[in-house]
Amino acid sequence: MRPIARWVVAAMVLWGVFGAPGAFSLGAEPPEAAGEAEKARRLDEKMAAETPPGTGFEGIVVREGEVIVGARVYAYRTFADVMAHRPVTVSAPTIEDGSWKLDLPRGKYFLLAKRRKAGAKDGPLAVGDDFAYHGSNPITIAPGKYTHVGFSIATLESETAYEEIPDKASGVLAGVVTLKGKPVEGVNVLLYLEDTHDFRGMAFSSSPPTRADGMFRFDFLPAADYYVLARKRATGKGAGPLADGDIFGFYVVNPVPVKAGSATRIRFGVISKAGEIGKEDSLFRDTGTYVTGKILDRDGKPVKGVYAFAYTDKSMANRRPDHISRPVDAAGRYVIHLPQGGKYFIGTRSEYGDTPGPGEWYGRYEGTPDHSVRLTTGIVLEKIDMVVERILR
Amino acid sequence: MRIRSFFGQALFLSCVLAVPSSSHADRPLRYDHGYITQDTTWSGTVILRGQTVVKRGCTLTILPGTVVKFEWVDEDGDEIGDGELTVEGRLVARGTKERFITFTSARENPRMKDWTFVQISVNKDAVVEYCRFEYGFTGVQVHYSTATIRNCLFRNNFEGIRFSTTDVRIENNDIVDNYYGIRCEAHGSRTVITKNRFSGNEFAFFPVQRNWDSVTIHENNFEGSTGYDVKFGINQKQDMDFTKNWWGTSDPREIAAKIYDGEREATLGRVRFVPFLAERVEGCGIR
Repeated sequence: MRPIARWVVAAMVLWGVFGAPGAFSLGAEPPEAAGEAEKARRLDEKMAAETPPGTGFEGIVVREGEVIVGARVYAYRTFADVMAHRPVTVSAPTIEDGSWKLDLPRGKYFLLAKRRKAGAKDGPLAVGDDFAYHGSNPITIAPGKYTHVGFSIATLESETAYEEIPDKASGVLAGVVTLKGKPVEGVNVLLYLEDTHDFRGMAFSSSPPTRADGMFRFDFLPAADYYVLARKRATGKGAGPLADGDIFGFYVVNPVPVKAGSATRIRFGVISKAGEIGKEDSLFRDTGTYVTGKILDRDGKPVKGVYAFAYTDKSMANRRPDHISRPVDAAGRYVIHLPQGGKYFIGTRSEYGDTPGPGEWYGRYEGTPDHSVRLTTGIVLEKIDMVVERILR
Repeated sequence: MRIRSFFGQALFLSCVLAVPSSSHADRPLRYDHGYITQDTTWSGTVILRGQTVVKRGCTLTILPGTVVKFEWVDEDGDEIGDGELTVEGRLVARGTKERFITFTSARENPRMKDWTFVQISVNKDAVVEYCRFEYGFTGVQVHYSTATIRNCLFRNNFEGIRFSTTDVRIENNDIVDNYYGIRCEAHGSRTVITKNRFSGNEFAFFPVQRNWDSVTIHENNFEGSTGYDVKFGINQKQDMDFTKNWWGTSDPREIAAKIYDGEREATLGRVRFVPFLAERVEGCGIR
């Protein structure tokens, strides 16, 4: 590819448009790899046989808080499979509530959400395609349940541009980080040379936090292909799993080739982690297994607006509940949708999260001594009524 | 398929029958994962295995001299004994200076965390006086309740007292040799902590989060903490009033050295300890 003058889009090379680099090509496997492939196939079969029904992933896909229709989620066994566009399976397109679901044997998977104009088949992305590489990849499925994965998707805004620079011994990678199409401040751009350690270890190089113009720049880079990621911790602390409010980005057309004597310029759309939004939505979906009843005060009047919740742990404290209802209606009626049968500890309160405060409605199901109900998958348990009182009133 | 709550009620009735396996006056009273569903009085020796719950609407009265022992069980493998007494009705544990009520481990060689806690949950006017709590994870936890804890000894527990959203008066207690003396999340509830003796704890006072001036902490003696006298949790963003306490010294630099707050980590609130008392408070601890 020949460089052209400053800020003129020259090669317009989307990685993969003209074929992926050899390391990720889809050629026939060499003989020595065939044995490994057979082992992997047998392991997959074994895992599938040992996996309880109802195992896989589910979630919703959003962009800027709005659900996305028509996106698909692609599951891959390895990062090499991601780069080779070799998914294990692909979800059906997300429907009007943005939801998707994949049945998979237990194990670890790399999950990506894409909406390609070219269609469902996996392949290189084009400008205008939507893309998200999940920040928690690879993600482990819990056996016997659908593990929730929320995606916040970004659009490939422009193609990679190259320009000639005077320094012929090294290259430059520069660009602008955007969130919702606008430059974003305070983001560290990270460069990795390899995909080992799932991009969680020390980066080859890290930019200072972007300024208000969202610009970043790496000078004097050795010519190589770089995986470009971005992170910004809402708490300012740099370790641990991503949390709500954190910003994460995995550049759509990774890895990005940087060449000696050339500046590579990208426009890097990142996302704000919104897993919890998806989680709430999935919690309210009708699974056919649910607990329902009324929430009343001491005088037998419905208490509108409180939540009912279900814990899988008897202490019913020190963490968020596993399942919650929508706020109860004027008749005090609630429904807690459950992913499967089992034993659940049922309670109710005004707010969702944190410790209840003075004056807050609070109660637990008193129909059993330990506040639990037990049901099997496909069962609807009715008249699990609760009485609430205001704390310290 | 739909099931009415009849089944739930049936289960409830079956659990009501889970009463003590022995109630003879000369033998220890034993509960094995029991539910107490009527007003009950304990005396002598009571042995608890697993979780024992006093249900809503019922009062548990514990008489002076009663010894409550928690058997070691650790079904979930978390290295904390599963024994607990949870009171969702009302607890009246009123010993005397001569005849304390004791909550302890049933093990021959007891250790910290041998049992979980005595938990007071959504009680009105719970009373805990002249009681001894030892070798628990938490001696007493109080949540969403009104309660008085007075003239008690908390020793060799991981936490002496933990409370959240509770109007509680904690007065004249000896809180010694625990990892955390008091751990709290008051959340605007009205709490008075006074005339207590804190000694030999790793952290005497551990406000986790959401504590502010609704908590009154005056005229206590803080001495001999091996870590900090006050250590703010990472989410304790509000300032707290710790004025008018004795800190074992009248040197403000020495006092500050035993406090972990916003002076050390900018995101935390601050401990206000000035003015502090220049000498030990008389009448602190059990009287």
